[in-house]
Amino acid sequence: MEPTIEKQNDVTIIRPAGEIDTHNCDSLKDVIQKALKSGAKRLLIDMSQVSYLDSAALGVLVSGFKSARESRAQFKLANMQPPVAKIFQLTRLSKFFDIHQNSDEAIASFK
Amino acid sequence: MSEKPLEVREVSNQELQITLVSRNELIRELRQKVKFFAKQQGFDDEEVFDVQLALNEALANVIEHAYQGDQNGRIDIKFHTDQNGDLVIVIKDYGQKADPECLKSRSLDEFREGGLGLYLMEKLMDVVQFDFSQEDGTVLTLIKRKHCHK
Repeated sequence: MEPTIEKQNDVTIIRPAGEIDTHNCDSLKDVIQKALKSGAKRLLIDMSQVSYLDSAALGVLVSGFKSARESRAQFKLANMQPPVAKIFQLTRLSKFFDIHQNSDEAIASFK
Repeated sequence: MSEKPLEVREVSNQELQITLVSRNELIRELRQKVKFFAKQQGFDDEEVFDVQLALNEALANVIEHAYQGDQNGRIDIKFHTDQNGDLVIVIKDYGQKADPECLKSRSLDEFREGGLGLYLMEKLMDVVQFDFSQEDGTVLTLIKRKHCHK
């Protein structure tokens, strides 16, 4: 399923959905890159609809975070389901990302 | 191998054999198959998730490294339970062998893409064993012990 994009004031919310793996993760990568190219400075990836991701999908989020940093944009994650949160903890990527319990908390935290 | 990209043979209630071609688009279907099999063998949801992700990473590695993106490589997989009720997954490819020296998990202090597949397999499964002694290709064995959360 293609990720959807929504603008809430100056926050760009990207919502990927379903199982994201090595076969379909490029669509998320494209959406993040397009948002950054169009000038988004506050990016929130709402993970509430993501039931599964593999290491290739993790790589897309890492590259998205790095691209955002290069564009001086903020990049946050929110609403992770427990299995997805487990992968972030196992790989210790949770210490690099700005992860929030829910979207409201994430949106309020943008500087 | 026949023309079908994925063939399943149910040997018994405790054994499933699958042959597939080396295409990423089939990994999702394999995740579903191992989920169904592991649940049938009495593994809980967390264990099933671990097995799905480990199999996913193993297959992605075979496709990327052993077959280097060639979409026509053959992969034979066997799911079975042993005498202890543990889930054993055997993955045989016929592609390029990896250098055993290069099979190391990377440091998690690096914030970068890639290189997490082997680490995840080792973290999620109780046994991860590569056999490079085959004349062609590699055999990877993954074992998940039942109700033995790591």
